[in-house]
Amino acid sequence: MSAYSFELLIQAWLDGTLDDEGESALLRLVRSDGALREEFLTQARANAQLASLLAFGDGAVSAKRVALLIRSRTESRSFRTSRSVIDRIDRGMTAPSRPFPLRRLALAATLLLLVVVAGLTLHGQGAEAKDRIAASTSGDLRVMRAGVAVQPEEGLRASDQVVAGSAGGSVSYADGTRVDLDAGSEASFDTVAAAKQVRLAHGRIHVSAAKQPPTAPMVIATDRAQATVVGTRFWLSSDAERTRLVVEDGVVRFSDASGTHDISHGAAVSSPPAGTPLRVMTWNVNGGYGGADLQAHAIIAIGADLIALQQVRSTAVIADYVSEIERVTESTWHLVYAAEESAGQACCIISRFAPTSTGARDIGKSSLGSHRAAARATVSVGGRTITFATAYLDWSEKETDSRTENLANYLGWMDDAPGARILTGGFRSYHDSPWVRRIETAYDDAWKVVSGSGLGPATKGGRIDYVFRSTAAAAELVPLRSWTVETDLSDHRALVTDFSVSPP
Amino acid sequence: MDADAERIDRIVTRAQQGDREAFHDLVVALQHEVRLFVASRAYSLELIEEILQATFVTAWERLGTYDARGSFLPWLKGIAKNRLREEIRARARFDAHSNDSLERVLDEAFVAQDAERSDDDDARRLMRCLERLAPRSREMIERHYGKGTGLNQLAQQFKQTRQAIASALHRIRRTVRACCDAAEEPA
Repeated sequence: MSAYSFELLIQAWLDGTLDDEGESALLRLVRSDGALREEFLTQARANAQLASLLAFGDGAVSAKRVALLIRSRTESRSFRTSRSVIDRIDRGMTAPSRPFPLRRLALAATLLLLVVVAGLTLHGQGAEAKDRIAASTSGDLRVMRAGVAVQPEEGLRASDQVVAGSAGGSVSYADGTRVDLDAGSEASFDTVAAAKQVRLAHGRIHVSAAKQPPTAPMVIATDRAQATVVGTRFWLSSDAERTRLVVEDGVVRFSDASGTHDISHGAAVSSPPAGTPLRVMTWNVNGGYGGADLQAHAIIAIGADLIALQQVRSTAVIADYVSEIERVTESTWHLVYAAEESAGQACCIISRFAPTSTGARDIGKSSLGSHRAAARATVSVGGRTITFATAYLDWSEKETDSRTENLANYLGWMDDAPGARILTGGFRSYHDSPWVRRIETAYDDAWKVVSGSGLGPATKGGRIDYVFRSTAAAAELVPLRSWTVETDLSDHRALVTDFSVSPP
Repeated sequence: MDADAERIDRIVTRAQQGDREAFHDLVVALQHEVRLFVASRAYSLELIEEILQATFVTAWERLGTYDARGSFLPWLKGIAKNRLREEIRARARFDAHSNDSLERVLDEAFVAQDAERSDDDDARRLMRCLERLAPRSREMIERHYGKGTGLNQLAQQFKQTRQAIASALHRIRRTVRACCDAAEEPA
C-alpha cells in the first residue's frame, strides 16, 4: 500500500466516512506495522487536539448535555454510590402523538373487517354454490359441503368446509400457491374476482403463496383479523382467544381491530383485545459503537414508549441518547440509569411516561469480577400500573454461576415491583435454556405469546434478548406484535413488542 | 486574583447557592479550557467529550467543597485529571474483553500513557505550534477544523486533488504533534 493510500484511509476514518472494509484494512495495517501504528496514533491525537481547539464554537452543546446530566443526577436515588445512577423523574410532560392515530385506525379497521367478513359471507350465500375453486387437495382432509361429506377428488367449491385429520393436509392452487392445514384445522376456500380467499375457522395453516396479482391479492380471514398476501410464506393460526400471524418471507398486510400493519419477515402479530397501545423495545447497544446520535435516531424511528438499553458505555453517552431523542421528538423523556462498576456494561430505561417510582439494583458479580446492575421504572399506562425493568446478565458461557446469580437477584428484586411487570434485557440465554425456563415460572416470553413458538428471529446469533410479561398480568398486558429491527449500529438487533393494556 | 478568576468566582458563588443558570454559564465559559486540557491526553473526540461532561457533572456535585480563592479552573482541571485516571482504569478492563478495532488501538495508547504526567502547557504549545505553520497550511487547517470544510471542497478551494489534500493534512498534523512533543517550547 502506498503512503498516499494510508493517508487517505486515515483521513476518511477521521472524517467518519470510512466504510467497514476500509476500516478493516486500516486496522490490519496498524496492527501489523509498529511504525504505522505510531503514525495512526499521532494523527488521531493531533486530530483530537486540533478539533478541540478550533471546532467547538461556544460550547452550548456541551453545556446542554451537562445540564441534562446534572438534572438527572440531582433527582436520582442512590445505587451503590450516588454517582453511579442517574434516575430522572422530571416535571410533567406532554406525550407526543404516536406514529399513527391508532384509535381512529382501530375504528376504521373494525368497520373494514366487518365489511370484508360480511362480504365473504354474502358472497358465499349469494354465489352459485357449485362455483368451482381452481385448487386440489391432498393429505388427510375431509371436505364438507352443506354439512355433508363429499369426496375430495370432486374438487373444491365455494363455501366447502375443509377439515384436516390427524395427519393434516394441503390445498394447492394452479399458480403454485399452497395452504397446509395442521391437524384439526378447519377452513373454507373461495375465489372472488380472481382473488383467492380463505377463511380460517380455527386451527393453524401455513401459506406459501406464489406472487399474486396486485389487483387481486389473496386474503385469509379469521373471526378477528385478516391477512392480505401478495407473495410470501407465513403461518396463521386462530383459536378462541386470538389470531396469530408469523411471517417467514415477504410482507403480509394484517388488519384487525387495532389497525392495519404490514408484517414482514421475522415478525409476528396477534389480534388484540381493545386497550391502550404500548410499544416497548430492548436493545443491546454494545457500547454505542454506531455512535450515540445515530443509535438515538434508530430508537426514535421505532417509536417505542418504553426503551431499555443494555451495554451502555457511560453517563455521557446516555446523556447523548436522551438529549437527541428529546431534541427530535420535542418532548421530555425520563431516564433511569443503572451502572455497573466497569465501563460499558450499564443499562438504562428511557420512558415517554413520567415514572411514579424508579430504582436501580446491584444484581451480583459478573465473570469479569465487577458487578451487574438492573434498572426499573413504574409508570401508569391507560390507568394501569406497569413496572418496566431491564438488566444485562453475565455473558460468559463458562461462568454460568454469575448469570444464575444475576438472574436470581433480578427476579427477586422484581417480586415486589408494583403492578403488571415487563421484564426486558440481555439475558445471554436461548429460549430453551435453564435461565429462560426459570423466568417462565412467573413470566411469559412476549414473542412466544404472539407467535405461539419459542423459535424466533435472532437478536444476536440466536434469541438472547427478550421481552417478558408477568404471567399474573396476562389479562391486562397482552402482547400483540413482536419483531426485531435490522441494524448495523450494534451487533445486536433491537427487539420491539407492542402490547395492549386493558382498561382497569 | 486576576479579574477573570474573580468574575468566575462570583458566578461560582451563585451556582453554589443552587443557581443552575449560573453553572450553565460556567460550563460555557470554561469548557474550552477544560477541553483543551483533556485533549492533551486523549486520543479521540469521543473520549474528550465524555471526560469533559463527567468533569462538569462531578464539579456540580462537589461545588460546595470549592473555596472561592480564584482557583476554579485549576480545581476543574484537577477533577478532569482524576476522571482521566478513572477512565484509563475502566478502559483497560473494558478493552480486555472487546473486539479488536481502531478505537481499541486508541484506547490501548491512552491506557498505556502515564496517568500522573503533567501536560498543563500542552494546549498553549499547540496554539504556538499552529502559529508557526506556513500561512497556507494554517489556512487549510482552520478551514478543515474550524469551518468543517471537507476534503472535496478543500481540493476545489486549493486546486489540488483529494489525495494531495489528505496528504497535506496528514503532514500538517504530524508537524503539529512533533512541535508539541519537542522538548523545548517553540520560540
